[in-house]
Amino acid sequence: MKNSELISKNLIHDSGKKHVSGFAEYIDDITEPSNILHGAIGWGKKAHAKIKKIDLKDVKNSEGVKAVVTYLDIPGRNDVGPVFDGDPIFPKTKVEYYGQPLFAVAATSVDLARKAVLKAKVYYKELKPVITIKESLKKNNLLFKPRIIKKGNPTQKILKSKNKIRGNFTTGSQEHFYLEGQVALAIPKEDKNFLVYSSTQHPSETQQIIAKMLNQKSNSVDVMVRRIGGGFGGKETNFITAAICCLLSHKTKRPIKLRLDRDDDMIITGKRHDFFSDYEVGFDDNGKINGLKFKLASRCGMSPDLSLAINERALLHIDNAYFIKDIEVKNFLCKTNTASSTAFRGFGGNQGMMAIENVIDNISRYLKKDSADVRKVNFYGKNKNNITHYGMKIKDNVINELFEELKIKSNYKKRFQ
Amino acid sequence: MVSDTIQFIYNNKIYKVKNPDPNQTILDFIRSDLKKTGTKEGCAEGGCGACTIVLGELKNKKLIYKSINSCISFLPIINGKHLILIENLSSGSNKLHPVQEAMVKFHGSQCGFCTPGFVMSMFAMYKNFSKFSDEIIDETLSGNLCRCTGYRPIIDAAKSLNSRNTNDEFKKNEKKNINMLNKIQVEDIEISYKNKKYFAPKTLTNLKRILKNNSNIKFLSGGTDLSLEVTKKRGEIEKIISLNSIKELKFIKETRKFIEVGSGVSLYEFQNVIKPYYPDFYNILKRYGSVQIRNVGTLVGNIATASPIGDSLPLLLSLDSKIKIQTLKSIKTIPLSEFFLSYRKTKLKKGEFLYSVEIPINKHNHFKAYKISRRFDDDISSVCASFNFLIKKNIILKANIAYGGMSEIPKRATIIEKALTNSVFSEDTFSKVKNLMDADYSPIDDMRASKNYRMDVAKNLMMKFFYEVSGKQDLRVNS
Repeated sequence: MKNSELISKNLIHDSGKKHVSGFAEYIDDITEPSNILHGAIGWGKKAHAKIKKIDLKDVKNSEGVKAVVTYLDIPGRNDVGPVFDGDPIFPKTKVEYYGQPLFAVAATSVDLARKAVLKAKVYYKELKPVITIKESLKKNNLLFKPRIIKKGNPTQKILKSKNKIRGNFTTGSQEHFYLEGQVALAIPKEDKNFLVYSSTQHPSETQQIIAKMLNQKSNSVDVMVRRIGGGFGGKETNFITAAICCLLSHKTKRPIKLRLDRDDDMIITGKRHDFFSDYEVGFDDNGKINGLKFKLASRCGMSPDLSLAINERALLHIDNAYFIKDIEVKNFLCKTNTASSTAFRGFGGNQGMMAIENVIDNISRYLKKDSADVRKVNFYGKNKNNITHYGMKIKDNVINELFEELKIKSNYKKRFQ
Repeated sequence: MVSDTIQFIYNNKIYKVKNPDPNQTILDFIRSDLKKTGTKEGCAEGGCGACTIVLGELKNKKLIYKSINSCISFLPIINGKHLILIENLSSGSNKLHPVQEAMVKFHGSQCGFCTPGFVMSMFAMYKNFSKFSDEIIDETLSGNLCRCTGYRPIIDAAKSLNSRNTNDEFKKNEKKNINMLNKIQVEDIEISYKNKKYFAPKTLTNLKRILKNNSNIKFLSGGTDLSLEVTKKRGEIEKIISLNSIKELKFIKETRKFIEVGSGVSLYEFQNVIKPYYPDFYNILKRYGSVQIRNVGTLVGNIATASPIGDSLPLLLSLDSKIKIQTLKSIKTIPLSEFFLSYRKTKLKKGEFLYSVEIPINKHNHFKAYKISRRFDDDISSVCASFNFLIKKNIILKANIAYGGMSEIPKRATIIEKALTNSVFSEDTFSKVKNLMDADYSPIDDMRASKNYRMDVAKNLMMKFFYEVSGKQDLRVNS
């Protein structure tokens, strides 16, 4: 078979026929065991507060409720953080974002479970929350020490440049809106084992986190994922749904299904990191960048989650396709009283690339030049100007040819008018 | 005759449910009782379309197919209808419906969770139309969200249906289904379930009798707003009275001077009636919710909910519409502008309901309407504006302006209107008078728009109206 045949072969989706006829099975579609109970999560309604008291009497007495779990019911690790701690399943003393889970119930129906959690009385001592990137920077409220990548002497290069501009740029947050919301089904098995169906992008880590929560061996927890109804990063480290589901099952010794209501899902779970960047750039009359200094800050929410890796990606992608000989990038991971920002398509790369593209656009505006020309003079070269700001040599670089071809094929010059 | 049992066609048979919970959604019934899981819950508020099903119903002895959001529809509304689920489309896993085949062939699914909803919307289109223009396809799909970036292949799938033979299993069984539907459409419905009651009378007389004997009863037409009490607020509605079975309310009267629309008329039906008179009314309605919403939601229901962001209200207000209120004894007519009292409060008293709305027709007037929302389709407006002007010899003789999203009720811009009346129809006039916006409105900041944004947009829309009418600039950009 020729290469071209292989690439252009038209294959239908493996599950296509099942998708279009309604027979593709998602977790909520699995036939429920007859003794199943349904879960719901009760969450905090303050962005930052000390928990004085949680009164769950009315919740326990609510129609259909069979069990209530709090942090006291967790035998092992009370955290679902994948890399670092910081994401308690249920916090003991402090609420750190609006929507943070505080307890959960198991009841005889979805409706009764969801009605029950609304009956909790939570008493708080409110603390001042930090919500925005700017507030966080001002208070130096950071999750980690700022990370810096520096090459050459950008300060001097900017100073010597004929043209200089300063600017800033924001990219917003984003809800994943996977069409299938967070859902898990936990079934207790022999020898304290559990079979957990979870709508997760990361079954093995789900297994480990549940095992640690229960203080059991990993092989006592089976995690099954047939398919998920979209994830986009929103189901990569959202272990809290499966963990709480399994905790309820552990307590009741009955199968539990926990399907988050869409509103709860949006309120409880983390979203895309919003970024704020500040920059200073020096360039010549062709738009060639001589020196660039970037401050790249992101809203990480109340915990590290994957923020370090995501910010790293932004930091490393800030060159996009451009050779910038003298550059400094400082990265600030802002801790805020918001749901912990998490993985989302692109994983920080796109936020970094957006920032440098904005710089290029602003240089073009300043010089009143076509931005395609400014891009061109800054592209990485094939045999020279091919070392990134983090010291990697770019191989197989086709950006220059690709760009020229695209300009011709898209009729760029004509459409630019 | 009164029955406590709802009847509908499902799987080519008559299916009966005695005294169902009137707060149960159709989606819950499908998944929990029928144990059919192809229909999905995405958002539980009629926004994403994953729960789309199709109801076949008789109209003028013909079967029409309506896509609806099963997540916000109460079960009893399927009484007398043909319930069609995604599983019913393919008689076996090897024999797909033409719509399903097209979706597979054109790669219209990725994660697959939104797919059954898309297929059902497209199926309704396939049954109701014979040619599928880009406009029809866009409208059909406006109530279904896909998140894996699949719109292009989905649209391609829909376009490919133009070359398909429209005969399918449903065509073959149509006569049989029509006969069955005729058989089950006879009785008034009165359901008792625990503390809840549901009434679906077939005549105004019976409706009035029920209203007289029951207090605190909620009216149900489309229920697209009412059902959120249950699905989102976790509340219960004890007494519901449905207006859907009353033929006397399902009328559209067209005369030379006005169009009167009964409270049983769906927005979808109305949009095609109003189109020749006021094209902009049609344009706004096409962006009102989605086909699924407009198939059940009514024009009069939109008035009765009295939402400050109801999309039809500014338009009806600027057109000097009147409403007819049915009291237990008689019908009284009042201008719509007097109907709204404060946030979601109206002049309706207990036991009263809206009978119809009367929209004056005036061919000499300039009528324009604009909806500004964060998303083009299936979104709630940040600002909605409507202008209805009579201009003679470049003098504004009548200036009717109404805005939605600018105050706690939809209302006319009376101060601006007064300033414009008898003025010269000129850029200068509009530029000056638009600054009176603060006198007429004080909008709020919310997640849809800020106060300042709303103010700016409201003023700009006045200018847009001027430029469009004066014909100097073509300012309309479609999605």
